[in-house]
Amino acid sequence: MRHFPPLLLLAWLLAMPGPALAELRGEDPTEAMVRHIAKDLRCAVCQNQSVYESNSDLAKDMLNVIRAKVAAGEQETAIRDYFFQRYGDYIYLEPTTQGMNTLLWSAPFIGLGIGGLALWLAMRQWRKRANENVKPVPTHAAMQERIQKELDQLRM
Amino acid sequence: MWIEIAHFSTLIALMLAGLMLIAPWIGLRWQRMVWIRVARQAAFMICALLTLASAGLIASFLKHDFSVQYVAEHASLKLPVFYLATAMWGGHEGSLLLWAWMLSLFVAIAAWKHWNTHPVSMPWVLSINGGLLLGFLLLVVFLSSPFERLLSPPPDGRDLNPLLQDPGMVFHPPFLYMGYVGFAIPYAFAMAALITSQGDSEWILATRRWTLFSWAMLTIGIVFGAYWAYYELGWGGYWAWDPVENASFMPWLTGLAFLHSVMVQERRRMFKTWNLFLIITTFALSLLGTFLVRSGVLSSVHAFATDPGRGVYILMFMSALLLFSFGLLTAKSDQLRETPKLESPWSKEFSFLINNLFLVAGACTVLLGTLYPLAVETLSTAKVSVGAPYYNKVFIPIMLGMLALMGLGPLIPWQRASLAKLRQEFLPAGIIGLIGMLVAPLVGVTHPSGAIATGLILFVGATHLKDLLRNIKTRMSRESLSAPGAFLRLVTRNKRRYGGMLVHLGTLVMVAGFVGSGLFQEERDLFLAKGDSMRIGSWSLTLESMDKTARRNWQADEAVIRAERPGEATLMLRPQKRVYSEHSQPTTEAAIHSSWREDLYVVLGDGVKDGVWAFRIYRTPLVSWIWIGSGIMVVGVFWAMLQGRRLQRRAD
Repeated sequence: MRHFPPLLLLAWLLAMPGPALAELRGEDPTEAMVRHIAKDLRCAVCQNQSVYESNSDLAKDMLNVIRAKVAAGEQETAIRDYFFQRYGDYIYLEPTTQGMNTLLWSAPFIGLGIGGLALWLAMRQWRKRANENVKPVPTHAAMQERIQKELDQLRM
Repeated sequence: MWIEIAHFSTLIALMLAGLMLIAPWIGLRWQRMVWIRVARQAAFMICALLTLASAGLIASFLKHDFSVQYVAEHASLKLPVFYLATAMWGGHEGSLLLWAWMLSLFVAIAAWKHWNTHPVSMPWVLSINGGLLLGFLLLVVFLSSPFERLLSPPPDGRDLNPLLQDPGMVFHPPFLYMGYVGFAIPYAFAMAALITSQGDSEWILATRRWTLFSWAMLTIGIVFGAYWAYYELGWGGYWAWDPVENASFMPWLTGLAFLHSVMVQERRRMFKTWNLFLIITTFALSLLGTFLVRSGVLSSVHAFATDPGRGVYILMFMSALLLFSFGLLTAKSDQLRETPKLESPWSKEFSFLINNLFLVAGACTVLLGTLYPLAVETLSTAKVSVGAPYYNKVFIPIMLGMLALMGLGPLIPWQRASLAKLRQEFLPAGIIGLIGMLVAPLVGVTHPSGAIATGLILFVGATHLKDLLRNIKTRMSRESLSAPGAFLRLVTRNKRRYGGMLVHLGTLVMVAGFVGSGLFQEERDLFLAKGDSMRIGSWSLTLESMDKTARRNWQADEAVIRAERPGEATLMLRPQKRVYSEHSQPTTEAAIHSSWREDLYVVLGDGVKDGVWAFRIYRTPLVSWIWIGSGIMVVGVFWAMLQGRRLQRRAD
């Protein structure tokens, strides 16, 4: 092959099908940002999928809108706001931490704290009870006699 | 013809369920044993009749009887036989029948197995299950009947949803339902114990295998669902915190809490009310799971309004069940009043209680996240979404706490431990865990929960290993056995304990899978033409060609991708984009190369222009560990189930 004139080599390469012409494709550099934004936006017609994960036409359109905006150099917050203006809170998969939502975010930990406190207080009681000396109850003489009698019978 | 047989046998089963509900009452009221035997025979009859009904529905599918509305809506002439036979649970109506059928089967087994051993509880167990069957069959017969005929049958059916034409989706519902339904038996035993005021531990011992079995089935069902979502939905993930998934996860969590806390009752006769509360909650959540998922209430308030009759009935059924169960629990609480004594918070008893606290808090979090959008939508005009990011931030920390507790499990003694003893037990494992936690960020696990999870995996693994090695050593010296012999003796003599340890081991493997797949997934979105290559991780992928392919009821575009990696054999991956003949929406068939290290996952997107196609490619480390871990978990549960009742007697 070394003897081939350069031009012929080029022609030969061009004529070869497939892999020889292979081009290493990379991802569009903005795509990571697109993904980052699209993963936290809800596909508005799906049950519970993000714009990034959904296969629906609307999600694809929304993804393209995000792509165009990222390509145009818009900031993440601006793009998120754009969708917020149109769909409201609903569009964010991660609920905001404002208003009623503070309850949503804090309730699990408050519950855990209250539960832990209750357990601790209960534990103190249970412990006190366990450590109290168990005093023998004085038995009635007649009862004592009967117990003894039955025990004797058992031994036979 | 077949469908009429199915319909009539369901109707007779419905009447027998009514009989089963009432007969034990009559028998107990007038002291006539024969009525209790009647209820027992009714249980067997219902099982036979519902088996016939399900067979009738399946037969209608196999015969392509499109005059049956349910068949016309969920099958077609081209649908392969395997999916025809299983399309019975492809829709709401049929899956409710499947539920009732499984319940009748379990009730029959319980009536057969426990008849002689639990004569006092049995009438009530029968009556309560009769009530449950009645409730379900009323729904099946009157509000969501799969037996409706169409006046003018279509020549061909509308076909099964393509997403459901997949083995994963065939096995997912029956296992999930077996889990849900299985909890009905312990629930009925618990209620019977409450009614007859013998609320001691008898019901727990009687139903130990039932709860283990149900929990195992629920695990299998959930994992099947996750696996199906992973390879069928083409989004590279397996768990989306979808309301549907959450609904099955909640009873799993409370059921797990129950499995732990009953041990305290068996051993120390404490927390009877709490255990009753947990089993009632678990079964109620199982019902909630079935109903809310299948009626579509959770996805949107509006779906509820489309069929008000069904929705109102479901609400009433749930309320009746909750009122009855918790009402009874409250009414009987005086008799159950106990004075628990715990010597020390440094005890197994108390660690189980904290375990319960975390699991119940976890279940409440999932419930809150699932119902919150519904509540907001009902109370105001606003709409909110609670998606995966919420659960990742709130639920994961709670479960990390849970994981840390798991490490205490095997080494912490019952009753009381001195601090010196605890230090001796946990110091080495704690140091190992701490080192793991600190080293993890240096080897790339920079996310805080990833680093914490890594440390905890090591900690838990170390405590379990320490316990195992110590017990092997004791046996070796006591019974002069070789190490493998001692190990075998150990795990076969105490199946329950080592089954539990195996479940813990499975959990660790799964957590590693969650960390790997959740934090280290790589994705690429790009366009490829024939001959183009791309790189992801150490893989290099080349699009060899684009083909067209077809099967009986679908045709597809198929990409042929050559995947190479230094030092490994070349792979051919063939992701497809399918269009089923009866459906317009295309579905994606991801091509997945799975190995223990990582999965390579290729999704074919849309064709852009002449020969250029969109691709989405994922490299997900350790994802197969999740499936392996869950397998280990299930084996562990079954191992624990093999344990007879010897252990409990000794514990008394």
